[in-house]
Amino acid sequence: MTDPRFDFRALDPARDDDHDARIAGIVASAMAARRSDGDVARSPGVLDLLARWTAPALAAAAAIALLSLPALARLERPAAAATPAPSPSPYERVASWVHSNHEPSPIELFTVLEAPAPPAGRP
Amino acid sequence: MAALPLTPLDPPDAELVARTCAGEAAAFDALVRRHYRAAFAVALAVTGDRADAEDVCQDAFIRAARRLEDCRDPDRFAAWLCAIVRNQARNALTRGGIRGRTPLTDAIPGAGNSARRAELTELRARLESALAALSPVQREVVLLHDLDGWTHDAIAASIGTSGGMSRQHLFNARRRLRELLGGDILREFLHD
Repeated sequence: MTDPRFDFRALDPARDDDHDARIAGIVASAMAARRSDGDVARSPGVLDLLARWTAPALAAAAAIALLSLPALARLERPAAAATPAPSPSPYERVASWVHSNHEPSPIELFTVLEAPAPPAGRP
Repeated sequence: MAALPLTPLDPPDAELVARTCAGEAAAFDALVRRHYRAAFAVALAVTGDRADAEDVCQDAFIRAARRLEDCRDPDRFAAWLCAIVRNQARNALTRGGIRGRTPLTDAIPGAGNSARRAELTELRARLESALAALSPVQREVVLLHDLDGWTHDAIAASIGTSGGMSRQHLFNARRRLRELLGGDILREFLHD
């Protein structure tokens, strides 16, 4: 098909006097828009800010916990030491009174007599 | 006339797209200069008005620049751009953002020469009036082919049809334009 082309040069925008200025304006606007979009994309959102805040906070909390472990361990030892020793049985207390020639008071006698019987096998 | 290309473009569109993505304004300037006429052809086909077509082109190029990373096949930048132009122009029509016919004497070449200015104004008016009698797809095909030199394969890929249909649209568009304008406005080319 060798149909002749229409001459649309009169409509050609490149022939307008302000064509170059128009293109320069488009390019400037477009590149500014790209930069602006890039700035927006790079600016942190709420979640980013939260993540940035929580990460160091969590790290600090972990560090504090690690540093606290020895102190906590030290706190636990006296607690273990403070566990009351098994109280002497009524027989032991009476024997100690005999050995020390101690005359028990009525209250001491009462607590010994009211004390529960020791488990089987225990003297 | 920069045309979609029987010969490879240098530098290729894909390279200019990549350089623009890297922030090089000169690369985008080259893309705009290379494809402005095609974008204008598509916009004019939809809006039917030169000034509106210019506005649509401006918005479309800025939009394209902002979404350049979404261009999956940068070698087909022209077709991708034309799709954006087409959508922008249709949206402008739907929104009623089209200003309507504007004085055709704005910013035409040879502004200091009143006779030439009047001649060009009349010629543009005749062409736009004749184009208005075509369907939008006929306008787009004839403008891309005859104003910017696109091949039928490129037009077909851009508008989503076959090369045969593109030829048919062109044939019908030219026949209608000849009926309306006569033969005096034709320019003979040795090859199609």
